[in-house]
Amino acid sequence: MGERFHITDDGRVSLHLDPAESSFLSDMVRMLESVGQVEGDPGEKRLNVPAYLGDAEAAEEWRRQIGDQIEDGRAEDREVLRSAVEGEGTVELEPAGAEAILRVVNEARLVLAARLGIEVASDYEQLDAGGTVALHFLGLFIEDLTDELSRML
Amino acid sequence: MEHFPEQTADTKTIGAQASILVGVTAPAPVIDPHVDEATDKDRPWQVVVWDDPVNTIPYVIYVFRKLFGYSERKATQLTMEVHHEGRSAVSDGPREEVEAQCYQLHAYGLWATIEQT
Repeated sequence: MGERFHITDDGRVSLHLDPAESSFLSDMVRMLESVGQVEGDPGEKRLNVPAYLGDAEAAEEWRRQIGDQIEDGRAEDREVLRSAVEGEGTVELEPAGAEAILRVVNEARLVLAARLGIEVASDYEQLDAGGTVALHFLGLFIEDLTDELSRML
Repeated sequence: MEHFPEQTADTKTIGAQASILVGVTAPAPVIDPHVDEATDKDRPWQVVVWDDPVNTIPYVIYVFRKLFGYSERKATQLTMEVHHEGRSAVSDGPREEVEAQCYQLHAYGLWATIEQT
């Protein structure tokens, strides 16, 4: 995992993925595109948390004002990841692109965890092997990228 | 979310319920709108981040450093407060400012809310 990312001499972020990893992340993009298509999707609920507690009117107004911006930003982030995983092997990203990938992979982890029923920490114990591996991979991906981007702060 | 609170009834609802329970009608409060308006306006707003079982501690530390420019020490302190206390007020200021910050935190997948202190 340590070789997945590194910062290049010209300040870009190099990302290396093997074909299986690229394929999995492509699946995650498709998963995110499905958010909200089914009523009661826990992934949608997790992504669209209310900004105001105990004030439904303020929460609704805030959502009305910025909801489209958030959705547009998420769609742009997904496109960055989609482009990155289309390339074989290694791609180099501007820092903003790497930041977009960090957001969208974390978003994928949140949605996947919500759909797998993770509401409290102890819920991880109930996961099957597939769910555990998927969340673990995404977690390591986020951790590695966070480490690299932290060096640029 | 492990420590996320349920939405609670507002004080008016609680007051009405209390009146029903004790069987009396509470005297109508004397309201000076000018005083209330000034008080509300002066109270700062804050953005609160809540604990959740999915976002990792290093990720949350990074987001606080990235969005607020906090030192690693301060970002870590706030993150651990979220983790252990269930929530942390990570920034305050005018309402428009904390709304923009809340927007950014949501874009990074953190569970953030806005409240008046």
